Amino acid sequence: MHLSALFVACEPSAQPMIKQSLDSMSWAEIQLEESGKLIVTIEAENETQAGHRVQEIEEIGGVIAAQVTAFHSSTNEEFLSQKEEL
Amino acid sequence: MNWTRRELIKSSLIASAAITAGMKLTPELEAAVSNAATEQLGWKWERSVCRFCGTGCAIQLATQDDKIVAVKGDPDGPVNRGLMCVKGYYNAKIMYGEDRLTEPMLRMKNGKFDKEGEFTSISWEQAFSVMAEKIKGTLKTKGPAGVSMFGSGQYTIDEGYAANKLIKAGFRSNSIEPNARHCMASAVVGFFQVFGIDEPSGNYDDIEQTDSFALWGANMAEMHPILWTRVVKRRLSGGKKIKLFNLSTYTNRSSDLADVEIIFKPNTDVAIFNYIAKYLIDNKAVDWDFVKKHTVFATGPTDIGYGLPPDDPREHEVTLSKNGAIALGLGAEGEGTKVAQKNTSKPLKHWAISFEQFQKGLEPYSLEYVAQLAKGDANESLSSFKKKLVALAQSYAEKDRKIVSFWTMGMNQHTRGSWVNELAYTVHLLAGKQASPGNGAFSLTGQPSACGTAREVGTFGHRLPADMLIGKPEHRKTAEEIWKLPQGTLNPKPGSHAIKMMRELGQGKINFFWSQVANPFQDFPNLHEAFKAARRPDNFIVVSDVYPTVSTKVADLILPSTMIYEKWGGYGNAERRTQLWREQVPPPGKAMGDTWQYLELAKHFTLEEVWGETVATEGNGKKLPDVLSGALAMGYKKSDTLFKVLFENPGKAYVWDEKSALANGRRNHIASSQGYFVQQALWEEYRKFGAGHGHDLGPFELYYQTPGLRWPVVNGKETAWRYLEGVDPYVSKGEGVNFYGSALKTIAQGDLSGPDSSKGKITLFDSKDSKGHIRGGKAKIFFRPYADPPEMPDETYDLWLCTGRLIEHWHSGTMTRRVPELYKAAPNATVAMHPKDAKAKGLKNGDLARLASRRGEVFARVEINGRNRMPQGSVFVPWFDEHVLINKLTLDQTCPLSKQADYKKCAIQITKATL
Repeated sequence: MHLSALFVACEPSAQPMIKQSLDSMSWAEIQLEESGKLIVTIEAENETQAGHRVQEIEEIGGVIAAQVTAFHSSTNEEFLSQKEEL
Repeated sequence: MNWTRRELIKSSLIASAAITAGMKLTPELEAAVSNAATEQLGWKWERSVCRFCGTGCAIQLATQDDKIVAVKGDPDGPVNRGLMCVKGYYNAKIMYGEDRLTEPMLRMKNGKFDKEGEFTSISWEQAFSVMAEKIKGTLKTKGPAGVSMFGSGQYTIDEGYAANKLIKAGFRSNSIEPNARHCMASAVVGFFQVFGIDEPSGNYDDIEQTDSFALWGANMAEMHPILWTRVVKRRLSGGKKIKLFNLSTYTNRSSDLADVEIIFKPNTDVAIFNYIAKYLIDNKAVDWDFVKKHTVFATGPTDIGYGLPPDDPREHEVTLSKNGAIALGLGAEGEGTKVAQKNTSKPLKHWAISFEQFQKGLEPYSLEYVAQLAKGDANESLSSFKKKLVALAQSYAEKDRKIVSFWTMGMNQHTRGSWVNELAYTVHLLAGKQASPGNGAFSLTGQPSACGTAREVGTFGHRLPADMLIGKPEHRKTAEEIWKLPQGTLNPKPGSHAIKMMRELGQGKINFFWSQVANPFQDFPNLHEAFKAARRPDNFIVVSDVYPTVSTKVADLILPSTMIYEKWGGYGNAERRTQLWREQVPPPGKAMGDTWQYLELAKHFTLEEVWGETVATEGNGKKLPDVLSGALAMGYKKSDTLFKVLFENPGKAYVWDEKSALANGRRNHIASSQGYFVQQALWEEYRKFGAGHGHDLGPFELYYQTPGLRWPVVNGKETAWRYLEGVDPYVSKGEGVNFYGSALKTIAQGDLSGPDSSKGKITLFDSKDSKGHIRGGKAKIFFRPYADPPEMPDETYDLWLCTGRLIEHWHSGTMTRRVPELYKAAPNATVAMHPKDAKAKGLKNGDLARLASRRGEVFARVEINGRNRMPQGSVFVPWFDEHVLINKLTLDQTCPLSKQADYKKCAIQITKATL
């Protein structure tokens, strides 16, 4: 399991369309939003898939850049078994 | 907060991203990045540095149970400001490949070393015994220069420093070179020749302050993605004035954002720079106030060969082509002139010339001549290409426009690499656009510590730390004093440069070769010769590495090393920024840090064994004197080990205390085993070399309070722009700019034909102050002519071959090819071709092709219209793939000044492979 947080810089005018595209990606989730800025989390099986998904987001029209700023990696089993309340 | 672990992790990542983006956090996100939340997760975050390119991004690592569990960009990191590129992902993953080397292995047969034996696990003690025996044997038969080390720009600072000290002070050999010779040497020569001191005047903050970017052979989009993000941001948000030029020999990803893409023929960047210089003069755009006050004009010999083996006819005579004749001012009628190469042994020689001579040199570089010479895309019209050259020249000329020039391997791996580096400064200095915020020629680096270790520590055959040179008696004296060596210990003869070192390994002049943090048997040009050298029966090859590589395959002894976060260390990036980090996780198995390996080996040598009179090094080396009596006079004993004298005695005052604030709860496997704080001791000794002459570094602990400092660091303060009054402490009030680098500041005078001894020498500064610092120092504006490369496409070998890197793989793929998903993403190197060239050879996308040069052949799949789009007549093959050893084809040509190999051009043929 690979969880990444991305900073997506975008043209403010294209933001609604970009959000619609992101909503259609089952593995992406918009977390925060300001004009021209989105924080998006993406889930992936591994780094390469995550890399491709970052690229997919970068290719959405109006996206200026999508940058990974933080990520966490663990095996599926570890991740799913850690559901206990802290 | 009532969170599941998953939610907490997710929230903390989101919060990090939001902080980086400068966005307001919700109270929930504030809580997620609180200390309490981190504690709940059981993670410990700590600042470190990215392992990969020369950018020097600060990252934060989270560890738990001796494993790295999360990575994020450090929002306080001034280089990356919280961002990470896709390579950042692999910092943790690369450490956990299945085939990590975890124990020493020696080729053995019947329980003994045997060159033809099988790799067998042995103890560290056995490994060092065998190495010591081989080194002692070599010292007796071949002399000190027969013992060699080969490192890289990925050495940590303490590793490079310890290796340099062991081989130069301990074994009295200067045979140490880094792979940075193949990467940065031309940039270094450019800095020394022009400024008299290594490394850039500017820094990355120029990106936000400039109006124009010119990329000269640097595909920043793939190779420096974080800097590219900053360039992109500036380009897109800086208004209409911002311009970006991408000069390259093929279309790459950096072209996507370029306002102007200039595809030029290999080597002709020299001519393009000369055209710009001529344009500046012709259009009265020279900043004469700046030029008169801060510069002189200079040139040097042109008959310098190509760094090929001495028996190659091209090292003795060159027949000029029409273009080559025009470039030298002989006109088209000079075609066919035979020019004896008389200065192959003195290529660095140079002298001051008048402005009139400088202008005369530039006379042939008209727009017409340069455009027809340099236009690299057969399908582009000459008029279109001319318009682009004019637009580029205008950007350098425009008075109120700031401009930054960036380059990496395109200019450095070049048979005239040092010249073209000098010419970048020529145009910036003429325009008065150097050493001020937003202006300057800036050499980017490819490796994380090419600057910090290879160059600043001086792990080259001719260098000592802080720009000091082995060949200078006063510099050897300084080193002998700092290292507490008897006078005369250091060998005055510089070691052979990397290419020559490999040739000498092949000739048996070098018998012991130890590769560290490098993969030379994949990286060197003309690899067949390197393989033969490694397998010579009398040669012993040691490879310290973390994974099996082509080099471990040809090795006799393999030593398991640690990865970056398994040791304390430091790197220095391209903008003079030094960053140190702590050991985060323990090394696997028996793997140990490289510095530990040097210290342990040093325990196997007594002074008596290494500091007596040496035998003469085979070839032209002389005997080195016995310095044992001097050693005894200094209080050493003949039975003292090199470990004691070089490392323990000077270092033991630095106590390693696991509970100290500096340790921050981290381990230090090297300090624990040696009984003192090895890294701090080496650092504090190392920084003595640079103190007080423009290379100052701060105390060790200072670097653990900050994401790096740019040297010179004086009184705890870094220097953002060098040579600039008010910013650089070495520039006095009223000077404005002072190019105070002290090397090569007294030169002869002459004209384009040569130096004139009757004119005497000139000094390129006004005075020296009471501390010996230069006042009113001047830089040099060089004239250098275009020269054809020694091998160009012809009827038989009809295509240019250019080699390089891809974003997915780091260098020779040693680490990145271990990440299974990455391996799948880019498993093999392909050959990028123009569709018309492919069609002419009967090839289509995905076909297997045979690539052959005069030196060897490889097979690779064809790629058309991929990320690198080639002009007709040129192909590109990356060098990461050990199954497509493209360096079997490349030519061991070098820049004669820097001795850096030119991997960017040779002639090959391509045919359809028949299986």
